[in-house]
Amino acid sequence: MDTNDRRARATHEATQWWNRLSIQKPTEVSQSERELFTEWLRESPLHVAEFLRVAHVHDSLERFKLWNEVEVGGAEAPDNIVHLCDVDERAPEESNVDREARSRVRTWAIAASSCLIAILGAWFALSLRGDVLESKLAERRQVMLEDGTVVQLEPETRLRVKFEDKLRRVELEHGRALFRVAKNPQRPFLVSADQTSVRAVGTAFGVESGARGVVVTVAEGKVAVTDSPKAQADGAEIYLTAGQQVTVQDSGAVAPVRVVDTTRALAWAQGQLVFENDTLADVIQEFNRYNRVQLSIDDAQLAARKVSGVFEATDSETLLAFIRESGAEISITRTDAGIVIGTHAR
Amino acid sequence: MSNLDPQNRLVEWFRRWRTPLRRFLASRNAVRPADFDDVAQEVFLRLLRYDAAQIVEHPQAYLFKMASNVAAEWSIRSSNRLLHEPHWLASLAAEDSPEQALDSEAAQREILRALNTLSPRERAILKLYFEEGLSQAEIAIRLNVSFRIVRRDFEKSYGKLRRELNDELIRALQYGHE
Repeated sequence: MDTNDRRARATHEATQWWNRLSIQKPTEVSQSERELFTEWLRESPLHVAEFLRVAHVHDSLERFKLWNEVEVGGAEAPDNIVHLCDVDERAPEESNVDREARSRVRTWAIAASSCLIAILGAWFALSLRGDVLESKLAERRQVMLEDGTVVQLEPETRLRVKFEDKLRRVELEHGRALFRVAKNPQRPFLVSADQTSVRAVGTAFGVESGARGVVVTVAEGKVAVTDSPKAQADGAEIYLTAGQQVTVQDSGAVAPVRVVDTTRALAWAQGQLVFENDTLADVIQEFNRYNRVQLSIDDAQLAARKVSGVFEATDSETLLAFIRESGAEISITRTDAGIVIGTHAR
Repeated sequence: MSNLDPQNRLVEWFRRWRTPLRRFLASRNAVRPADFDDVAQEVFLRLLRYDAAQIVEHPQAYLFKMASNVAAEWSIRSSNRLLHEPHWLASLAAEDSPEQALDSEAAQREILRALNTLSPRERAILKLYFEEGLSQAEIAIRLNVSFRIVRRDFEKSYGKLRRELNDELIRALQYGHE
């Protein structure tokens, strides 16, 4: 998805390595630095490519002869303007801590990118006028809207963003998304799904539109839910605060407000799937949203089996192991198209 | 490069990485920019095949050595495939003078143009480093900014130049035709 982001990051890291290995005391590079550098090179062909390209930049500069034609006006004057500029530029730079954390994280980041899902960290600044945001099978993305609100789209989710002067409107057509709404009391944030709408000022909440109807779960702050445009007109709103959840069924019936454990109820926002007495067929359908390798069951009895548990959305192997350990006599057949779970004797 | 016998050259690139770098840069002329990522991919695979402990001794030397080998093999392969490619003929003609290539006026102009897209301070830092030979610490004192800023600007300017410099242009110019 974000090839350019990855390339830009590789370039950035390559310039840092180049600076460390070739510019700053290049004769005093320690064993551990060389180990880290070797590790970095062996992480990705992109790293190799960018380091070699940076080497080329350096070589071009070494052979450049027209330095006297390079204008440096103003750079040497330590006046206020330059000083302010320093402060400004410092802001977006990550702290050393961040950088260290990132290099620690890098190992699993690479692992994650080698999984077939392209997730995380794609922050698109979009100017949106009725724009459609969509995620595909096995894709999760985060999008920052023009007001600073962050929308996290789970796989196979589609929503439409319509921002007006006095109102920020999002229509969730299907799927589920977590909203971290930027505060603006003058401009309420309204999410609608089917007939249900959720109004928020500044808060974080999840909306799921699927077979169970529309489920709204609030992680922070407060939202107002209406189950129909009429109810909205009448001001018949249901208020939800942090830790509460409401389900509006397709029939229009509103289940009572429940107090939920939001870490569990919004576990999907963390890449986890939680099941409670769901059929294996449903579980597999849910997994298939998050993974390119598609699971299927060729046995009706097995499909009806109930499953409870918490799983990493992208780790279907754990699910398979779980089913096997739960005592089911299953066979697993791997094909190009996916994995078939059956009851045939092996 | 040609004035060193192979034995000395071998010793040389193990001891330092500059010679492999030069070789890589020279051989790179034979690789079309569009193919560059493929070359890097092959280098990457070779890096994985090598024993990590061995690479750690001289990572840059290994990297550039592998890169120059791959680039050379690549150029042989592509010249077999595309005998009439102008760059292949050009690389034959330029084979003995890769060093002179960048001296051409137009290549110098391209680098100047790219440098002028940097901020004044980034330009000043590069100028003090490459023209006056100051260290980054000395540059920080001269410009009255922190060392961190010099280091960061230095790295940032390399990133910008990496995007800005026209590979194709510089490469074509290295063969000396406009």
